[in-house]
Amino acid sequence: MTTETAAQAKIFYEDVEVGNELPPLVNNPVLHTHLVRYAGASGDFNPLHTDPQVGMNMGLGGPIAHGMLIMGFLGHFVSDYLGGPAGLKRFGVRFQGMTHHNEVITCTGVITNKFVENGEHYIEASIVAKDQNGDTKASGSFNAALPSKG
Amino acid sequence: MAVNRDMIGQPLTPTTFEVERGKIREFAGAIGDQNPIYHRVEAAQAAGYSDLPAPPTFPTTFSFWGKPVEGDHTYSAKDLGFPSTGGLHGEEEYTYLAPIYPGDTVTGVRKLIDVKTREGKLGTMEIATLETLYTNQNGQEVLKVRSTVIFTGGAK
Repeated sequence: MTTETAAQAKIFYEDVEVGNELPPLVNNPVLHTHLVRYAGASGDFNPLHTDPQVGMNMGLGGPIAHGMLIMGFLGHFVSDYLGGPAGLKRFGVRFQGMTHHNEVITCTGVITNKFVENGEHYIEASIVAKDQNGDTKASGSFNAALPSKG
Repeated sequence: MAVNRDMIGQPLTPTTFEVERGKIREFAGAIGDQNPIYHRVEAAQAAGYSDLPAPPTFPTTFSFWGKPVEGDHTYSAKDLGFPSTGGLHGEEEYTYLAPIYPGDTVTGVRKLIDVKTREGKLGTMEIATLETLYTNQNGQEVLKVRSTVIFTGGAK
């Protein structure tokens, strides 16, 4: 599974302004093989995600993606923005919709706050994962400490 | 109602997980993250990490692949009284307290911290909040995870 990423050089606190949009991350379509692979990697073998018949029997029209896979896409998006996970302090999402096969999940975000506390330079951002129709799958926020030029 | 409120605040049996490079690579690949810091040690070190860092949602592996600590039994997840099917993952929040690297052994203690009941279209819903605190082999707190699980149809 390869994904179009928006690689970015290390960002500094002074470069970030409230209202800045984070470079979007467009993930590849969610395929059955991705769900099987994610099940093995994460250890979540709930058959709702990997056995098409289970989702059909539940009236969901087929298997649905692990919510944590969608949060994983968002984590990838946040990691790309920060240049890695080092500065990440808090990262939370609420799951709002089920993801089916072949949906394309795009992650976007916007800076909502920046402040200095105890000598550390923090940013906060709201983030969201939507499908190709604009329906929200998960949304939330993160806080991170950034290096300062000063 | 299904969820056992007497369990609020009671620690479940601790679970441990050994963090390995191979699992970090496998997990990063499974979410489509090909950033070399999660795959090649030299790239991670060039970026200032001592080894492959854990991707932000990697700790989900701690709960699914972690094993109970032998001889330290208190309560198991079964004691929470959660229905075996039909739980929906409502929310997930990580608070990162210290870096986690390959070679670390993390131990997590999970507690049910809140149960709410709401009336919805599908009948009575129960919303359970769980919190897990992970420490490493040096006793250092490294991560706090807060999860909510929604159970529908509790009134049937």
